[in-house]
Amino acid sequence: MVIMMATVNNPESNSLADWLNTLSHKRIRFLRLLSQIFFFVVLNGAFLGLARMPFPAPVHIPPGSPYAIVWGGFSAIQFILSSGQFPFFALGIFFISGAISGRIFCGWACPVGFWQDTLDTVGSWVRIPKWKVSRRTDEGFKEIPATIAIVAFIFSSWIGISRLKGDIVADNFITRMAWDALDPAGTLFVGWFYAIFWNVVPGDSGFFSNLGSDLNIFILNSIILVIVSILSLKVPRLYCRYLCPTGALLGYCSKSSLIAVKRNPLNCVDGCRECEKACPMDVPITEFGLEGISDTACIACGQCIDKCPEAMSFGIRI
Amino acid sequence: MKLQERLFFYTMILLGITFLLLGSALEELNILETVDKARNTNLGAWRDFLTTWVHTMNPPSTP
Repeated sequence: MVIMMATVNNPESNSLADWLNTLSHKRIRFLRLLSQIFFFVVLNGAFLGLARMPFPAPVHIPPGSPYAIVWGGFSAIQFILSSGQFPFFALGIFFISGAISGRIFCGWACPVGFWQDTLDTVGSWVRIPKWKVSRRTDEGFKEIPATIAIVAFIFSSWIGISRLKGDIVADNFITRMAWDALDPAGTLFVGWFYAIFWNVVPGDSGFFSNLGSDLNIFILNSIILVIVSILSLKVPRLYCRYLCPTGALLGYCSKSSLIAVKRNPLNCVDGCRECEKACPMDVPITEFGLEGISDTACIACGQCIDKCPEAMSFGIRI
Repeated sequence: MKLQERLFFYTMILLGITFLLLGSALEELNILETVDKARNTNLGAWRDFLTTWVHTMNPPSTP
């Protein structure tokens, strides 16, 4: 009680700066949480009355998300390609945002990234031990998102060319946005949302009509979602690291991004590697220095800066 | 920033601007807008659109 009184009566300790200081090493984490909540609400802002825009954003928003006000960039690319047009505008968005801000949208704005971070936090709360993925395995699995992106790109192009030639092509999720029809994030944000809140299940509505029994596909998707979610409790950002084609595309464009996380080797303690242990994307941070981290997996989340503000910082590369 | 990185950065910016202009000129976003018009801000309309869209391809087995 005495301590509480002392705290309340001391104007110094009630200042915003002091409050931020009390957050100490979790300061960036807290700001990022605020940013993720803000973007989650705004990007799904149709329930607030915000108008839907035909704009491809450089984040992953499953296309059927009922309240989404923008298009997920990769979904837009697939949709435009499968309509028989090259997605210049959508790719341009990726090039510009990747070159300027790197994968900062993945870390600070993406709703699916927010879902992954939430699972990671829940896993820590219930003290689920984390798995350390070996560097070799990680390098292999990191190729999956780019492979998904390339396959989806080729498939959508083939569908688009078939449409231009006048061939009859079914018009459904598979032929329009093939990856999104199988995407576990889509199952969570769309399939389960429809089932729980609107009592519409794919078996009734005809989702995935080209793949045989809709309900079976929905069940299969749900199983994949549960597996990915459980694994995400043990491996932080599992979806972003090993499944997300949006992140792969943005990562490729962000190799020399203007905004980057930098490491000052002079302030580093040999063999400490606390920054690498804190990194949810398992980036080999100590391989980089003042020139900035140019690993395509870096989402500029700032966990490393929280852990070691002496050596790590946000910076501009030029 | 090394020369190679600098080149990559400027290539990305130039490509990005060119692609944005090309996409605008070709009215590429109209494709997305046709879908968006159906859903707009009206949630019911979007739900109806989505279910109608798939119903026309494959009528539901249950009413």
